[in-house]
Amino acid sequence: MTAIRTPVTAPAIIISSSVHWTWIKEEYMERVARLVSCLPAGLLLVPSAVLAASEDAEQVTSFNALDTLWVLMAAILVFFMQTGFGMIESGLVRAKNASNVLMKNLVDFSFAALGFFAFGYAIMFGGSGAFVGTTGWFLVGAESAADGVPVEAFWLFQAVFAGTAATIVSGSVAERFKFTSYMLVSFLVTAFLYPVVGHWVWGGGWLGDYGFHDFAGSTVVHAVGGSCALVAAYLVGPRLGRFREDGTVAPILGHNLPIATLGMFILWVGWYGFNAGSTLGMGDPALVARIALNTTLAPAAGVLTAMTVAWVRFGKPDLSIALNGALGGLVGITAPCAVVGAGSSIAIGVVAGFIVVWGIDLLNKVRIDDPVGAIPVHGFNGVWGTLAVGLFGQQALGSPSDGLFLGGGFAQLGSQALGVVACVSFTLAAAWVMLKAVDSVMGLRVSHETELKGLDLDEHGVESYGGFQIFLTD
Amino acid sequence: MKFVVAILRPEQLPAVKEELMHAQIQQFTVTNALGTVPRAEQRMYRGVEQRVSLKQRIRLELAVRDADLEIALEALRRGALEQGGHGKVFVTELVEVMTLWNGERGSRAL
Repeated sequence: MTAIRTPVTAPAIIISSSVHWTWIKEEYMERVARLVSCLPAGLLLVPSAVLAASEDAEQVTSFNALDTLWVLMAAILVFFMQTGFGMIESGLVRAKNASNVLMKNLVDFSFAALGFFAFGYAIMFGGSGAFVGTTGWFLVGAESAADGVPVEAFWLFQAVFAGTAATIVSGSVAERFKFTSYMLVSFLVTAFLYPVVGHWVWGGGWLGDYGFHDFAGSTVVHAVGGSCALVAAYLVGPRLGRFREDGTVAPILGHNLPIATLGMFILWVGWYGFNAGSTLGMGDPALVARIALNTTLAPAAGVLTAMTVAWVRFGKPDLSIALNGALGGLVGITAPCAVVGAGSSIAIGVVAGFIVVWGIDLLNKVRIDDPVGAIPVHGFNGVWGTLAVGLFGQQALGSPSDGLFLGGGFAQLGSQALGVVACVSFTLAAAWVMLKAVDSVMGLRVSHETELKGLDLDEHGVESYGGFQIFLTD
Repeated sequence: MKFVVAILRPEQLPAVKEELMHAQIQQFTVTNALGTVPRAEQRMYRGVEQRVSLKQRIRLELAVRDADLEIALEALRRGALEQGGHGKVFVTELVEVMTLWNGERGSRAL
């Protein structure tokens, strides 16, 4: 019988040595029973199996305190990224839609927490099926995939990642996507879509067999979130007045660049948890330190490149594009952060900076409206970061094989391309079906009247800046 | 009595205020406003051309006795010229004034 190490509620522990903590069996049994009894009847199919299983459960499990601390701390940093997303997105939309985009950020994380608890974790980490996991629904009988780290801590770390993938969408569809439909979409993404791709790469699924390396989630989190963002922005259509009849694009100014900048810095801070925390432990301090270094260099290079490219092309160093440059560099270094050197990180960030500006231009040309640049930052740079492993990755640092620029040939690049193409095409297709279904049932878009008045007033009945005079400029 | 409305650039306000105070014209009202510009300014926002045809202005309003009109206009002009002299002043007849707390009317209320 599989050992069940972990009930859902916080475990009771005693300190039996300086590092190894031990379960108290009675407390453990009582908590499992309490958990099962408080779930609505019929919601779970498994309680009797669980109780039976717990009879044979391993009674003493060792955890590593330092690794657990690191995973929890990193999870909290990644959770803080939700604030970053909320700030950058609300800063880059108009004042009349600021509360709506914040509400979406708040709610998509809440759905991520519940959906990933109920279904997502089981699909992602419940066994080594090729395409989906199938055990550990509601975390009952779930096991941690990180050695020495309790499943609750590991779950939290994974749940905040799911929340990150989901919240990317809110930026690209800002200022026109219906709130109710958005709630349904974020639940479906975090409970089902994201965990499927996550299982392929991190949960023992089929891509693991092909030497695909995505250390912290350029593909799993960012390309998946970016792909959903792309499909959603395309299907919901551009904001009113964004694309003019004569083919030109109307600027729609963000209303609070200081808040957007704060959001970028918060995301950058959170990314140290995202990347360095993906070591899932402090077993190799040099690795954690290297990742932290790379997570600093790539976004710095991304800022300076995006700023310079925008400066040369558009005449001024545009702050909002520079913010996107930082995030592009962070997304780019997410997959390769563990297996590349400092110089490579800078190169990856430079390319990411170009991709951000090019991507913003490209979307304007094909008339897809992305108010905050989520698609270039997360989608395009997610793909870039994944491929970068195949170019700059070093076997000596832990990459499956040396990248193209290290004389390893095309093998790793091929694996990376296969992985990212598989994940992105699955996500695009699944997101398309999902959004079309939601569209047919409840519609994706608010009415023209609501869009003109602002989503804050009609959807939520609030003003983001009640009592302030909004100074309109044109 | 005359009612004076001056449309100025925000950067002109400190000097204009100083000159008005100096000329003993100590009651006026200032609001934020937008005004058209002769030629739209080109800016770029996230790689997209932005044509700015309304720019931030301030609207300064004051009421004076007929005899003080020239003093007020000169003070406005002196202040505005310190920052390039842009802007316009509109003068209209003022029919009535009332101070609310004591009900005084006409030029005595100014």
